[in-house]
Amino acid sequence: MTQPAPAFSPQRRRLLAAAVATALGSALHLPSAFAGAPRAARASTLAALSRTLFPLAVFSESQHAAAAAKMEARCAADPALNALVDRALAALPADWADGPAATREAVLRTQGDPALIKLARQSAVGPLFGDPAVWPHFDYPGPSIAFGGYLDRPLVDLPWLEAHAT
Amino acid sequence: MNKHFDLNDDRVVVVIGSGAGGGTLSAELTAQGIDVVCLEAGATPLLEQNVPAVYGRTRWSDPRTVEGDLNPDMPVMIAKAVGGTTVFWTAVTLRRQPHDFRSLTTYGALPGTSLIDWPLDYDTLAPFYAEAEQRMGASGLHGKPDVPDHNNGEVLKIGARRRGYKHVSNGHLSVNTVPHDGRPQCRQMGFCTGGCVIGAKWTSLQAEIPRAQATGHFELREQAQVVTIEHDAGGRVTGVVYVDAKGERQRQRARAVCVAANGIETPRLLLMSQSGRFPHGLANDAGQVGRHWMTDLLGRVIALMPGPVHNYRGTTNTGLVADDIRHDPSRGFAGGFLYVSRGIHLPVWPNEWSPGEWGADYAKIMEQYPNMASAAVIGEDMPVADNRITLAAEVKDAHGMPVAHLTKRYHANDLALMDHALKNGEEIYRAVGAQQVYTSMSRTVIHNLGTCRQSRDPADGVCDAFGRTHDVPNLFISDGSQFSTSAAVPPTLTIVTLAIRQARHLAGQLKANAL
Ligand SMILES: Cc1cc2nc3c(=O)[nH]c(=O)nc-3n(C[C@H](O)[C@H](O)[C@H](O)COP(=O)(O)OP(=O)(O)OC[C@H]3O[C@@H](n4cnc5c(N)ncnc54)[C@H](O)[C@@H]3O)c2cc1C
Ligand code: SF4
Repeated sequence: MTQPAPAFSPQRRRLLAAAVATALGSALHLPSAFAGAPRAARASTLAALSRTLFPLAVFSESQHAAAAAKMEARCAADPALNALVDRALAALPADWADGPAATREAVLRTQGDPALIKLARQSAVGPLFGDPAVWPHFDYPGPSIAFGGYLDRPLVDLPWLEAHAT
Repeated sequence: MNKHFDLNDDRVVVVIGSGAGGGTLSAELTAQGIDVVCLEAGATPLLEQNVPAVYGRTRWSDPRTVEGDLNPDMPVMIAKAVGGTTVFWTAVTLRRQPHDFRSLTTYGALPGTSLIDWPLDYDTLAPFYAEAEQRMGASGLHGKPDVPDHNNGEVLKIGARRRGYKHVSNGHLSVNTVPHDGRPQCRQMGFCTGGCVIGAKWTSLQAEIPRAQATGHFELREQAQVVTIEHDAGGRVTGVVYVDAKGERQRQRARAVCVAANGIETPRLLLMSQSGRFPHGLANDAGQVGRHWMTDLLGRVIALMPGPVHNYRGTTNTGLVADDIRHDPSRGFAGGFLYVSRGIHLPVWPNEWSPGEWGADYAKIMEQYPNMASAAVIGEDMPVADNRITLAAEVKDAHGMPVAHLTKRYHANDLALMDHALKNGEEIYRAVGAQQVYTSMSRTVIHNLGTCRQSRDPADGVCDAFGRTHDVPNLFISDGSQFSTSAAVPPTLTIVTLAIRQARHLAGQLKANAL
């Protein structure tokens, strides 16, 4: 898969992020921007992670927020993971979450901590693909027990296959 | 009715695990009038048509440590529940071939492998295979109709026929194509992996445990996790220690102990049962417990077709291409493999198809879900002595016991087989117009075999042809751990077959006071 180049060089972004972090940290007497950032900021960055991993219009902001909440729940149960997430978020440019989708993806691919991406992916799949609200978009009906399964329905309907006879 | 036996009742046989092996063994022993206490670490599962929810509640999630080629986040996917992994299984019910019991003779001593022949042959097992197939209600056998065709199976089958494959069918599934054994006909609901809510799929939970309970000779204790097996000065097993649902340790005495805890927990339990007499673990005088871990090889062939397939409909694995189960060294590897169609529900699709992938291009492909056809490759892997289950030095489980450390590195033969299978699998779908084919090898395993294997020579394995351990006369291995080698077909029919045979033998010995 090809990725568009990030708008700034990764190095410049890191410098910028560090500068912002230091400024904020000293103003608020906190160790780093993200560790001390308001919970809401962190939540919206985590939601942006979910949106960057699975950028489909069908997924709602509340689904991405649910994914972020799952990430937070795992962090709450695991201080080491929480610290890792703090560090990994601090390593991203400060305005990463606000960037356009292609930039977010490109930056995440080059600067994203694999452990952060893993946590985000593990947390996002359920709230995104398991939500019945999006199933019609994927033409997926979900449970079949209400209509008695597929036994009495056409189980073979492949009109397109005729056209591909060789 | 669940009977109750006293903890000090030393006439009972203790069966550890209530899955394919333990459930069948319990049903067969109790049918012969033998009193059985089955200790099951898991609880009775709540089934619903929601695969991630059932997986989340029911899978074995105690920690394990991992070394080698498997996915460290999810190396193994098996159950901790009454009924064991049969709750999740998709019911492909196929016999091993005669040469699968003569692996060393057939393949020769391939470098780096620890191949042996089984101490029993196909003809010995054949009548028990027939009995197991009938018991499980296998479709397309013994007068039972085939499962009906469905899209996902047809795409695979038509593609395979166009490519010249000959052994193309709907296979044999242990789902009821007609009512059988007090359970209803399969409604082609398509949720086999989350547990069949109507009980049309054979599971130990819905078929064997009730059968055992009906005899009046059976007690199931759920949420009872065995932590050690105990023995006397003479080296005979006397009972087990388990942690009950309240977290308290209990000692159940026993006349014989049969271990059917699936191929990882079975050797772990023996390794944890160390003593002065067995310093390296029970029945481990030859140092064979935990070694030769085979998992079968699992591959994914996912194809983007020109129109809708709706692969989630109907029985998960309808559609079988079995030409390659033969041993044919001209393909460049030993052993064989097969293709089965494999339905995958949307909520688990991103994890089961393509763990780890993400991004805009990937998400666009995900939107093609309705047009995706999907098949699995199941192939034989080679036994390697250092692919093994050991005890983790540092990590302990909730009961303070060392967790299993898993080491699995694929042998060159395994990789050659999988490469061949995936390339040809792609061609099958190209033959029916696939626009894109995505192939990969799964690094999460679902079959665990060989870790307490049967051997003629006690130096080569852990148990004999009846699953009785070489070192301890009243200790039996009753699950896939006893397989001497894996095969191109999945293992459960053979696990059930061996359990029936073991039960008959053990009951005979017990009745004759010969044990
Ligand atoms: C998704 C999926 C699909 C599958 N499809 C197929 C298929 O189509 N065909 C096929 O042949 N096979 C299939 N299998 C494999 C099949 O499920 C297993 O081969 C079979 O269930 C193994 O039987 P078992 O008795 O060895 O172990 P299990 O069925 O796993 O039972 C072992 C039981 O022991 C319990 N236990 C473990 N340790 C302890 C302890 N210390 N104390 C008490 N209890 C303990 C566990 O909780 C568990 O319930 C599939 C598996 C999966 C996951
Ligand atoms: S397809 Fe059949 S066996 Fe599978 S869950 Fe549905 S009814 Fe049960």
